[in-house]
Amino acid sequence: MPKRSDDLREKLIGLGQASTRKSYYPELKERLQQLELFRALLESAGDGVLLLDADTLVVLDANGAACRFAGLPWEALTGRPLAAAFPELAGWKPRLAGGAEDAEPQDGPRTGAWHMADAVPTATGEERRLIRQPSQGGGLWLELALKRHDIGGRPYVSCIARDVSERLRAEEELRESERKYRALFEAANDAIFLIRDGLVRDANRRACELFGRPLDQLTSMAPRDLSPPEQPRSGDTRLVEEMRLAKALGGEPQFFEWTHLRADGAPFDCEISLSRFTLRGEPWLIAIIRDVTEQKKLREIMVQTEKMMSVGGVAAGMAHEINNPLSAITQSAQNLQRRLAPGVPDNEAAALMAGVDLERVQHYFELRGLAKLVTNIREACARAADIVRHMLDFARRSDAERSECDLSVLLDRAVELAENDYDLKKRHDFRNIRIIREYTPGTPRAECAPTEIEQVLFNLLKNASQAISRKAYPQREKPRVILRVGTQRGVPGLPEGAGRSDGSGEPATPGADADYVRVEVEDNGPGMDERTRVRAFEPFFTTKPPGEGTGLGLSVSYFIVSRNHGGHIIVESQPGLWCRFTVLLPAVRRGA
Amino acid sequence: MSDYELRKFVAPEFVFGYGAAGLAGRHARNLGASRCLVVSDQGVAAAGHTEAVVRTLRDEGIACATFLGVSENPRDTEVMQGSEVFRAEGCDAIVAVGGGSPMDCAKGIGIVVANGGHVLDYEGVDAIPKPMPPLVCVPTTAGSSADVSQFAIIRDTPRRVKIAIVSKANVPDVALVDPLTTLTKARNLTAATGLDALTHAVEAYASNAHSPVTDMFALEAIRGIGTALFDVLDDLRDRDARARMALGSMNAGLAFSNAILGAVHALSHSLGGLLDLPHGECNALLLPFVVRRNFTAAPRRYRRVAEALGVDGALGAGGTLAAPDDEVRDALFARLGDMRRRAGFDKGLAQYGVTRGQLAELARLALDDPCLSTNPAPLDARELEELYAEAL
Repeated sequence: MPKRSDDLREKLIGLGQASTRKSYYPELKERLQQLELFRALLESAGDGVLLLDADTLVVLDANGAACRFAGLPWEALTGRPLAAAFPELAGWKPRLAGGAEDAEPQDGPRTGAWHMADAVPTATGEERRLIRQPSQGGGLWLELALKRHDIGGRPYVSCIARDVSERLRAEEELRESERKYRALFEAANDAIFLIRDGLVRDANRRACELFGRPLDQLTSMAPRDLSPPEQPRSGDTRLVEEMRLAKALGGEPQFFEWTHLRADGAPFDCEISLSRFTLRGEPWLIAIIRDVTEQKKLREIMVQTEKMMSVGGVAAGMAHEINNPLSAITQSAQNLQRRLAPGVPDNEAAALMAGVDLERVQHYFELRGLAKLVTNIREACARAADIVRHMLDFARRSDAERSECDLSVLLDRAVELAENDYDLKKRHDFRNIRIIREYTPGTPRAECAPTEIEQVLFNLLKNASQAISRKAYPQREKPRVILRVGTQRGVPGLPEGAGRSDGSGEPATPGADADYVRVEVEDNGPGMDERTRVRAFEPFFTTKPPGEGTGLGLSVSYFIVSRNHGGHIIVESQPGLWCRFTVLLPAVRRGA
Repeated sequence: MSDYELRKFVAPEFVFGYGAAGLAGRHARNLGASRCLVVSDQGVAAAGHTEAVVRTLRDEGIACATFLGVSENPRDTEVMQGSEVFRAEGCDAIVAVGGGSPMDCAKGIGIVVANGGHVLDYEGVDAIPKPMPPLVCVPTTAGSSADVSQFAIIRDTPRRVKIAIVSKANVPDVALVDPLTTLTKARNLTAATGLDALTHAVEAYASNAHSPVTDMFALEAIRGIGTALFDVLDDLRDRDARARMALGSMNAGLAFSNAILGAVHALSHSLGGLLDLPHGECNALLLPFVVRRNFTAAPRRYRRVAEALGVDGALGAGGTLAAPDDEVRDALFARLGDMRRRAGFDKGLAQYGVTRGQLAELARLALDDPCLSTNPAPLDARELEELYAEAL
């Protein structure tokens, strides 16, 4: 018989190698081994794993981490309620409803699921709860995730306890850091935009103030939506914006000047720094926008001051040099007249010697109008001397007497003077101009030389009157001058509430700590274009027809205010609408 | 009593034949064993059977720990020691090599390692909750049949009684019945175990729980043992006679494990427990007296027993007129006594050291034995005491 048949027969009659009646034991051993392996895995887990009886929440089994969290050995942890291990759960009773309802937690309230106070039900039917567990090292924060299971028809609850102390600490640190940077962000005096994909995604409080828009409006806009279509220096807004954003995104920080628009359409100048940072893998831009309007004004004043001082110096030097020849001419003309006059012994003696009748010579002079010519020379000299004297004043501190003056009184006096001025009366009757007085009550006094300041204010009124005379008023508008007296605090030369004619701003409230007394003279004449405005205080600069003014009035005023009084004089204008001169003089501190 | 009442027949998977012991390793492996506790005794170990089985286990890559601390009439203490060894050695299966004592001890060890507690906790019937680890039995005596039975008899040392643990969970997973292992048995042991096997068969056949299936095994066992025992005793080296003896013993085991026993075993367990007397010899001594006492309760059964043992006129077959009950009874009584004497046992209980004063106590203990419940005739303590007295 072949071998194979033998084998088959052996097997059939139960004598084969594997001919043993079935036994579940080997399989069971394998499963037990798997269980042991599983147990070892559970033991090595960092999370605590507990098996609970669903009805009593008595711990049936627990791994090493669970024992560690509970601070109990396995024997003490098992067989006792969960709350014995985790005291914070004391008094907490989960309600377990019938198993049948548990199957459908989708619709409506989870009536079938079991409930816990402060527990968070999750989509997977898990209940989570954060507890603080006292331990030797202070305390642990444990996140418990409890879930119901039916094993072999018996309800159990599994409880996974995770030590989240470290995570919570990190989260708290993160929140603190977030608060810190949020504070920095919000407290910044510059507007800050966070930009992604060309749109503003976040903006700080200062940005809302600066642009005059609420946050939710800003966060849907592109920077170009907040700008005029053209940039005064660099051209087309859209193109420049694209270029700047692209460069910054390319990792090249940008710093440039820009003109933005407020919500009301008013432009303002700013300096922008644009740099890139990465957030969750995405490139963002941070734009820091500094409003440089005030800086520019300050710079302008500084330039103005410097210019005026140098011009003043040159003018004074010239005046000084001209003064001597002018005196010679004046004296010579005077002498000429005197030496022709009859009745003077020296003249009579000289005429006798020359054999000329002095009276005839006189007659000849009259016939030829020579006497008149000499008078003209003298008068011209007097005028030149007057100019020279003014020019000398540029470089000279006045020694006029100082006193504490109420500027509204000085202003009223200047108005009176203007009303009676022959010159003004003759050409542009000052009385036809409506005078509006906006004097802030309680304005402190300023220490000044009253005659000089009166002269300055008179000059300003005269200027206003002359400007008004050059404007053809439409039907409804009447010539008017607004006079304001108030105070100002802070940076000299930067008027608070500038542009009051446009209705914005409020007069500064008078106070003991006011730095300046502020006097404004605002006319509604033709105003000044920018070119005129920046040169307004230059000596000999005038817009009047030749001969109508020396072009020294405002220069003199400037030097009186700035050099003699340590104050400021500023001119602002909206061409065609208004022009305003502001004089700031150091206030007398109350109580000082 | 109908032959067709509900009956269950429980038997292990078994291999019978020359060389069956060599299959121990293969079967242990198939049962998932990786480290076996081999339970045996000094005598069996000295005969080399233990080592031979261990070798087959090692050949299959199964590690072994050997426990030889088993005496005749295995004690509860020995069971507990064995289970300690099992646990300490990290065993996962048991192989018993030897006669009834190592096999019963192995069952006890299995019960304790699976269920915990003390072996005496599981006294009684069907009182083992959890199944034991795989158990392979390699019997070396043709007698006890613990290799196929659901019985484990353990001596309760403090109480000096033998307790019976009867449970289907006691049936081994595999029995490897190898007649060659019985060749080394001495004459006396061969005789005692042979008469024990005969007692098993007779009591199972007469049992009030017998069934057609058990009857088959029981009668075949009685016939086989009746001739084989004396062939073996004539020539201890006769392999085939040894094999017939082993087969008879196994058949008897299959029968009594399912039909259960009777008064002989109840009385014998008492003697073994109280006085530590040899089980087979006690059975041989008591069997004739119990049969005589029971005869009228199941005359047809005992007639068949007598017929199987070659008593003339026991059955009215073939035209022969059957002898009356009392004649057959006395003839059977005489035949059983003759067999015992022929096997070499002629002592009465007194000669084993039993005194008349102990009989009441022995009877009282026998009355509690579960084997008494399947005895064909209900017996009370007085009747049991009388039986002891007859055997004195």
